Amino acid sequence: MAAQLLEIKNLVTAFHTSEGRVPAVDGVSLSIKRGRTLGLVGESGCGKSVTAMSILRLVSSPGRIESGSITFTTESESIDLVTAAEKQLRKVRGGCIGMIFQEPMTSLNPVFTVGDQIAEVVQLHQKVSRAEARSRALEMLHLVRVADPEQRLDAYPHQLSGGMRQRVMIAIALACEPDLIIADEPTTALDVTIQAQILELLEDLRSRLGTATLLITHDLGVVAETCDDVAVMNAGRIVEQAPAVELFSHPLHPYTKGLLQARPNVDTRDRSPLATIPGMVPAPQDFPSGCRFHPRCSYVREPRCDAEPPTLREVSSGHFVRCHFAEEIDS
Amino acid sequence: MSQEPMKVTAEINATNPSRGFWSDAWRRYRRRPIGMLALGFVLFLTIVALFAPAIAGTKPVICSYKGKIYFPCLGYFNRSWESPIFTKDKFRGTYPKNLKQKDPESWAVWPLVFQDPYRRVRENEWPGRRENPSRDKGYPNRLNLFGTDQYGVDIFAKMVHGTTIALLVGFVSMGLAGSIGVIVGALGGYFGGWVDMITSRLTEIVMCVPTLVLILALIAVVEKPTIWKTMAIIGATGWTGIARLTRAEFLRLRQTEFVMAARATGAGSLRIMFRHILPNALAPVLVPITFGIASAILVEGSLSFLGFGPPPPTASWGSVLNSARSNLQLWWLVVFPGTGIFFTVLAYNLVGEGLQEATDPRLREAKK
Repeated sequence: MAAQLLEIKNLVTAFHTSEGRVPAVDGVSLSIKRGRTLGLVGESGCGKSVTAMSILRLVSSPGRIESGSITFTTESESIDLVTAAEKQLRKVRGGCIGMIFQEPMTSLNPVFTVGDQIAEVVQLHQKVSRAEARSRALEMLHLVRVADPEQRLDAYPHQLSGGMRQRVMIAIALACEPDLIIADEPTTALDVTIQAQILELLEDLRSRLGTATLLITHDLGVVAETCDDVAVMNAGRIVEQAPAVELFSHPLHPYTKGLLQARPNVDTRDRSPLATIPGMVPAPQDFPSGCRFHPRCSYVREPRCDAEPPTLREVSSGHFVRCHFAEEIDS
Repeated sequence: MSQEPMKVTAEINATNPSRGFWSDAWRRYRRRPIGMLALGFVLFLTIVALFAPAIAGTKPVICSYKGKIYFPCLGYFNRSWESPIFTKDKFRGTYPKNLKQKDPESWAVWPLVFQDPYRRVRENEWPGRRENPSRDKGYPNRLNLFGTDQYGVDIFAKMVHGTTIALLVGFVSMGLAGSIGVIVGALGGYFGGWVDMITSRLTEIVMCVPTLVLILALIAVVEKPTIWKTMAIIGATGWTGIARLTRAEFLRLRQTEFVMAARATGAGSLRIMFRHILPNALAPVLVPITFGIASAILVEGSLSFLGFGPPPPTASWGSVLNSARSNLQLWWLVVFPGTGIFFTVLAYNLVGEGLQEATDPRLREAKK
């Protein structure tokens, strides 16, 4: 069995708008091992969601995957999702890769009961009768710990709370026992107590079912709690990638350092204002030359940062960083 | 972290037994008395249409003849449903006398009103009853509730049997128009791009052609204008509004998250279009279909009035109006079918309006 479940290489996804080509994802490489959780972190607009959409080829016009490969390895075969036929892709979607969206309020079809929606996925991917699909739906509702599942099976989405709907979304994503779950900010729209419950549920299901997870978030606390590996994205590129423990104890890229410093401190005696990263997120059509982070970087050194785009290099085992001066900054 | 299942009871909100979109809409619809009245009228018409041969006719609803049971009245719906034995035994369409003569043992249950929509009832056809009056003598009377036309054919019977035609025209032609409109609109709205380009232009072209003129032209080309061909033509020209509305709904809905979510679960385009999007688009599309039924009935009426309707043996309200065209002094030929068409069209429009108010979320909010 191949160790890498999903391997993204040099993915470029661009939007062709009237203002020209906008590369939202520009040369991203990622890999997820079977049963592991990869956190993809970054600020709004850095290309996290587009990366996720690209994996299932859900990016709709005017967006297009321009180059790169996404190799998905199942037990029997490996498929390049970028070039796969639509029919093959449909089998992968929902069947081998489940997806959880950010907005549980609008991600469920308002005119069908939640039971029908879970059963539909099962029927799409497995040759089962309606009754079997329905009992599978009930089983899934049990699994995601929806209270009173027999009754909820016939409820419409508007009758459920946000947390419940997100549980239903998780049930849909997991219904066909996929190898990989892509969770695109699954807790952003929920309030904090429900967030914790959902994350705990995801983590529990992961350890029980052995499903690999790609968790997209901008919440570093979530990452620290749930992820094995972390990739930090900035301006359409991965700037740092490392095992979670390593990254939090030993961040190398100035952007990652900035992110970590920008977290609020629980220490009540500390009255200093919250650290921020100066500047704005650059729009993809006018990314700066050289290192894309250099205008906002506190360690910037002209002229190299301005002129030469840094490459993603391995500074220690399993720790990749995209910065010319990572070692110097570190010491 | 995989300890015992955590408690999620905090999230439970007490929900009523599930109530879907349509039962909710029905609850709201029921609040409008005028809408309910109109719906009642439409239901009444449907019942009249279904039981027309039992309400007015000259053929028994059910009869026993030579030891067997027959339903000769079904011959009004379709000639071949009337048992051939009556043709063989030379009944010539008159049952009361023939039944008794040829089989004294026979019995029959007759329609409520012994009148025929297609021919004049003769002297003594029904024991002791005189012949239907004709020409300008056919005032409404006890035997001919709505009077008779210039040939002595009973108008009430014609009206009752014409109900079937009026409803069929509405449902068949709008069923056709609805199917074409929804498919064309769905394709254009969902796929966009050049598909949308083609379907939109097609819709606009069909919309530009004056419907009545196109229908007349097509009827001129079609060899035998039966009622079914008229319906097909009305349907084939009346789908443009529905197509535009469906397209707009699809354009809106294909951007929604649940459609994206459906794609992420591996649903194909057709499935997304017709299972995920269409049910959400149905309410706004149903409203013009209801109005369309009303206008189809009107179009059929005007076609028949102009003499381009179904050929004479078919009883339709419009053809009664047509016979009044040359006999304006026979006011009952105008008043009864005219009133019938008026109230039917009104009822459908009211049903459509009620449906709109019951399903449109904006109107719904305003009412609260």
